[in-house]
Amino acid sequence: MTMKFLVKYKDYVYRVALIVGWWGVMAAIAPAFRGEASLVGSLEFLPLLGLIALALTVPLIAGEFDLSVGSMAALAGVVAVLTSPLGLAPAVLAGTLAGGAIGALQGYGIARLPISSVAFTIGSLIVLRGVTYVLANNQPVPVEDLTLTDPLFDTYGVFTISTIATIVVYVLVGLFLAFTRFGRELYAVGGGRKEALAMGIPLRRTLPLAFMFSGGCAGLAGALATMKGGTADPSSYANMLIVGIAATLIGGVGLTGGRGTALHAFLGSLLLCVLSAGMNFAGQTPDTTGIVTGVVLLLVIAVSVASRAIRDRRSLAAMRQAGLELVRGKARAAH
Amino acid sequence: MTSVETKRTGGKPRTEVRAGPGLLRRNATRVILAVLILAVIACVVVTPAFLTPANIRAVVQNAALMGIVAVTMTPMAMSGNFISLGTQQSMVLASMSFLALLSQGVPAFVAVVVILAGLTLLGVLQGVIVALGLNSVITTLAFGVIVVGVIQKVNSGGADVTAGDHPVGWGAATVLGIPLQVVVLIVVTVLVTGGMTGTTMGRRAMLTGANAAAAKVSGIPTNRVTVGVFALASAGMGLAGILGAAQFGISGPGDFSEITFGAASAILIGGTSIAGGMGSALRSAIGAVVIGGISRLMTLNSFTPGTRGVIEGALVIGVVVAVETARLRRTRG
Repeated sequence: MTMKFLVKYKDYVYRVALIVGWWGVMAAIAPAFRGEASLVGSLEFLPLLGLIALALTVPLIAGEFDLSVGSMAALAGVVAVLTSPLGLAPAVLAGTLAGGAIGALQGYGIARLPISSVAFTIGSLIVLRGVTYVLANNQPVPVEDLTLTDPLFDTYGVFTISTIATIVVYVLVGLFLAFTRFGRELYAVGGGRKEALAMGIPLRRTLPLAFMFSGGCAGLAGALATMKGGTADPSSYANMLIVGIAATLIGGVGLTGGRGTALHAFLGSLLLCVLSAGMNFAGQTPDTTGIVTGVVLLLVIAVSVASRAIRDRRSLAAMRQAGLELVRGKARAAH
Repeated sequence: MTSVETKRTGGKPRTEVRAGPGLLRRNATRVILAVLILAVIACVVVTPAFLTPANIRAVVQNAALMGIVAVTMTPMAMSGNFISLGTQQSMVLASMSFLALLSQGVPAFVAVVVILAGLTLLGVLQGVIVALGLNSVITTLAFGVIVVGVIQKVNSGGADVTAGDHPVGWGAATVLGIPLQVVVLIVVTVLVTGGMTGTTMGRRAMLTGANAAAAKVSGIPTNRVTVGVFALASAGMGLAGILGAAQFGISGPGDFSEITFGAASAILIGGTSIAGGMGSALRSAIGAVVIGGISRLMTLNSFTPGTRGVIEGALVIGVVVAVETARLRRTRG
């Protein structure tokens, strides 16, 4: 039973083992990286990275790229700071809604125009960055009332409002993807575009939805991080695209569409968070963390490519065996 | 001259092999030329000073580095290997190590050879990994992250590098009045365009991008093609990095921050499909010059960075949609 469980969910088990293993190694090396401090340190970066990874995952499941997530996060950050006189929650909500609305428009454009999502979002990552600069009047915008953002620093055990919000969003999006009709349609258009279209699942319904989720998650990520920082810099979060893609891929979300869950993205982000927090506590500089991240990315992907190759070879051998037996059986019957 | 095209439009995949005698008979080229002409007319109407030789020289010179990267990366995109997400990092590696070598007293010629060889090797390494079955997006991304980590580790503190007592004398050199960078861009464009259309390897790269499975079945060494296009793209980044270092005389980890998506925009504006199967190095070069020209025009008219971004991004989306619409009309009509 347990064995069956482990085999069925080996994708997740493998990544959880990596996370726990890394945590164990770092805790052994760095005495500071133990207990509550290590968890608080690891979770600090999770809202930004985790939500960006989720923003990349949903379109990837539908077989599309959204390269505009970094610009979207910066834009939502500026929107949140500009609407901050209304209060903290309305400001974060405004950033999220702005991201979701722009994302839905992007998805609609990609579905209706003869342009790939890669080309479209390379264009829109430049456009949205421009809009961000225009909104911010080409300079960093500070939050006027600094006491406003105090609740973001309150802790509940090892959690903050940002990490709780991130986990809630992950649960909701994960349930949506796994159990609703619209969520399953995203897998359908990502896994077999032609078949899904033939079945009557239109792109102009699925793609706006996928990109709305993407824009909304990126927007929430940017709004939360910016409000916590207290200043919206229009040039920020440009490198989050690269880190986010790394987390998504380490988590095991497929680049070709139809493969991956919210849990994959979550575990990938968590692994990167524990990795960088551990290195940080061990006194390593960010550049060492960068090198290790790159190597881990290549290794994790190499393992999954190798395991798929082995599985393919095994199933091929099994098929050959079955074919051979069939032929032998027929030969015997002919005798 | 034939070109093989595969595209997905409204979910209907269609493959088309069409023959056309000349460059101008292709719709994509026509659309790009129309955009170019319109852009030039707009420039001249808005800013009369735009057509002066000095200004045109400045435009092309500024666009040259992006052009070299875009041109050498075009075969990579055409062969279905997307674009490199580690472009900026490789260029910074080349420019910083070039200046560092010079400051140690290494002759410039030796430094150029060493760096081009090193960058080509980096490309070969990535190509081999992709040929082994890893996705090219993942591979270039991971190499970019590793390269930037190594740069910062070696150059602790993230300080800028200069050539010290051995400054580069030929950074602003001209050949017959044409800036060196532009000469290199022209030479690279001619070589890559000729290589893509006139050599077996080039045709194989295009076919691999159009249909990798079919290419493999028909005996094309797709692995060798992959390694080749990665090596070329990486060498191009090295060349552009060296020229940048020679031109500015100083280089830091934050340099060329817009090159990755700038080169991608140039390739896209040139009508090359990022999904592979079609494209042209010449049009990528034109794409880079168009971007450079428009960006220069906006600077001359003191547009803010925000407005410039909105216009540049909209241009990328607009041109790609126009090119694809023209292609569709041709296939349907």
